Amino acid sequence: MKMAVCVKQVPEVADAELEVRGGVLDTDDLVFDLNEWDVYAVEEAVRLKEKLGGHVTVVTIGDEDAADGLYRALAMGADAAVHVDGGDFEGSDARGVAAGLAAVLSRGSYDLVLTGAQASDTGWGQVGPQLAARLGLPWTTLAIGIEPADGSLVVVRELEDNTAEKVQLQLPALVTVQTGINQPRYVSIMGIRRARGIAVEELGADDLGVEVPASGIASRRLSLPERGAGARMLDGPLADTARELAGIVRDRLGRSA
Amino acid sequence: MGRDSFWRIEHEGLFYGLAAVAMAVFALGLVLRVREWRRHGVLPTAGALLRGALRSLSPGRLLRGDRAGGWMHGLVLWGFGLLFVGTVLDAVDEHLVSFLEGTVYLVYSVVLEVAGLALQAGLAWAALRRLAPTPSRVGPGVRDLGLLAWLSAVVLTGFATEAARLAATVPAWGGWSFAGWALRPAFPHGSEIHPTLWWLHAVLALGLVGAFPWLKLKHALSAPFVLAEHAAPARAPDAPPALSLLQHIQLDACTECGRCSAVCPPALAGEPFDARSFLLATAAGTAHHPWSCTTCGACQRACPLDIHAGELVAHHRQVAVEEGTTVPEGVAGVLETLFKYDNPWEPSKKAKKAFHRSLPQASTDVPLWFVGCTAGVDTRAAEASSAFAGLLRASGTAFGTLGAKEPCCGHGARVLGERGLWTEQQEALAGRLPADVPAFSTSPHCWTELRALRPDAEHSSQLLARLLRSGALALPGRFEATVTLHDPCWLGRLGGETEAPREVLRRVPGLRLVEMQRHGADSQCCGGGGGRAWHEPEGGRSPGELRLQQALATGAEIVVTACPLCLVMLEAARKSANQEDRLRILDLAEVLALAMEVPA
Repeated sequence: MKMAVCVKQVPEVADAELEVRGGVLDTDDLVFDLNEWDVYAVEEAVRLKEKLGGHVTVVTIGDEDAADGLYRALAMGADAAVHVDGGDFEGSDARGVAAGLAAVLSRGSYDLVLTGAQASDTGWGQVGPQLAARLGLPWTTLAIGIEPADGSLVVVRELEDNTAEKVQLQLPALVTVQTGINQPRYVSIMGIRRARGIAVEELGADDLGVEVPASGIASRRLSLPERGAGARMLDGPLADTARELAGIVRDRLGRSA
Repeated sequence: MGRDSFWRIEHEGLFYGLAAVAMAVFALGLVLRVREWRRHGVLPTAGALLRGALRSLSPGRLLRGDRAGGWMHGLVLWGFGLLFVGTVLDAVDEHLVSFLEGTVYLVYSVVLEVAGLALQAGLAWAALRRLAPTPSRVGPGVRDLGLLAWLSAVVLTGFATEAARLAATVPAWGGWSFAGWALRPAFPHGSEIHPTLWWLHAVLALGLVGAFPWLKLKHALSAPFVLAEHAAPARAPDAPPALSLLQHIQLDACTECGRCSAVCPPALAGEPFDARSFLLATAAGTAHHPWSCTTCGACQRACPLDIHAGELVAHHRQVAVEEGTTVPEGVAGVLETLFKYDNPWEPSKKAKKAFHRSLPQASTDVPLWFVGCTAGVDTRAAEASSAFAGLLRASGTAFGTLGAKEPCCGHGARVLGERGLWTEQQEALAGRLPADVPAFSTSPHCWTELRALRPDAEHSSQLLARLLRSGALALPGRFEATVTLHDPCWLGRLGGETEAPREVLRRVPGLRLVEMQRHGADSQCCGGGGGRAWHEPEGGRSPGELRLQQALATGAEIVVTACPLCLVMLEAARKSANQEDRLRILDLAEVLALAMEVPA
């Protein structure tokens, strides 16, 4: 099965001393890595390849650091990688990104395109469906299980409140993947080093012959949420702190004794 | 005097034919084994093998970890050995030069009687250990009991043959073969039954010789190889992990005695992991889940053949890490955190930065204090580090730290099997150490990694001992307390330093040190090594709580340790075991800091 996975390199915000400069997040001191949803997507593609045979190509649009994400995917078991210069897509919205990815993917013919359900930084959740529309592929989202059937795919989707929906798609198709669909394999430093020996195809908007549509949205303000006062620690004998806690809960709930 | 080896035996030729076959089969078995080992490396020289063989006979090794077992095995080994030599001498006497006569023969007779009885006693003892109702490390397996039965049959048919012959011939010197002599009355038709017994004994004995390389007895053949010196072959750091030649032979040499499991921390804590099972599973190709090991090294110390089951675990971790799909989520998380945030504890560089803010910068003029991740990031461990910093200042010792630029020493990557990450961290550390300055650390784990780059790097216990000795640190008052010392595995057993922390404690006036049953190089692990401080393996329990029970048994009020990981693990165990009222856990530096506050 010939597969393509679209991935994005995003900043990790665990160390959370974030700063906003000039309306954008200051990423100088941040650690970057593959978007968590995309890691699950790559793992799913590699597992399908291991089960059914085939080929996996990973594609990203990003700056030079985005190559790190491609090497991680290659080390996980992807076979080839395409790196589109992010400079041409600076400030793009989902429509622009989908246009770029569609231009790359229409150069080949894929049975299955996988993407993460959303990216952890922008959170649009739109690139997958827009890409499917441009490629004319049937599509579905939030996959937590993918089972191949004859010429088609049975996908289990995660809905709210612990419900799941099962859908069937004819191939070729596009599926966006939810976290938890699998347990992504660990990639060792030596594995990544070996992956760096694989040549990555580098392309720009010109090579693709794509005209990047102007962004349909513009960010007006980006700010960080205000920090609360933090936790209040209750000390003392158990009976006293229990009484104090009960009083606080009563007050907050506005109920009488 | 003397005896006819073939008294009333016809078809001598058949015997020699059988003997030749038996020896050929033995040789074949030995050659097949050696050829298998040869595929994995260069074998030791004959001289090294001889030294290995002599080492394998050392009583110290036999008695290690199990004195009763050692004596039992000694009886079997030396009994068997003497009887074997006796048989060879008999052949020499028969075909080369006749010397077994007169006094020589009498001595020979007595020695072999004793040897046979010793061997039989040892075999009976071995069987009893396996059949005893109380749980033991060795069970009543059919293979093992079968082998004991076979060996006993050889011995008993030997005595029976002798008794039958003595019953028939009744030589004047017969009493020197006192055991056979005593059995005479049981064989009234000695001369008729003798050939049957003789052939039975011959077949059983020769069968044993032929089958030797395939039975558990083959450990006698592997032992000289295992204990010979082996040149460690140079391996490229990126080479895929493979078992070494030595490890291959060790898998053949293990006798399943279980002394390793008897000291293995996860096993003692009741987890579904133990050193012996893991080794045997490795030999069978079914080993899995190598994540419970704490890399404490107690297994190797207990093994009479120095087999390091922990190194087999390390090998499996490396294989798992490179393959990727069997690495537990927790382990992957620790490694990724270490890589991205330069510490295995949390995805943040803030805590380390904050700790180092109050400390002087490193330079080429002052010794370097490599603080490390645990000692700088964990709240409790940081208290101990602050106490240590206070001691350095009080003693007028100048020092500097790498500050916010201090990399993780990479030890966590090493013990979890990520060799590539370990190497990268080592290179980062080598790049940032100022040239030509002495270095020290409070963590035995960081100390081990430092020593690879600076062989004279000190552990804080050694440095503190030095300061006390020279008087740079003075303790005017008496600090009255009863303490026990928990030796960190990577300081004592694996680092070779058990004296320095004891010297420090001895130099505190008023302090009374009582030792736990397992102390020094025999110390029992706190359970924090092998990555377990950051991730709980499947089925994990608390080795730390077991260690605290041992501490309580000494009657001490304070458990002293000299490792930030041990401190963290023992404090956690103290809480989970509800021992907060009965014990305090203190770092060596904290003990000194308290002692210094006592007025003269």
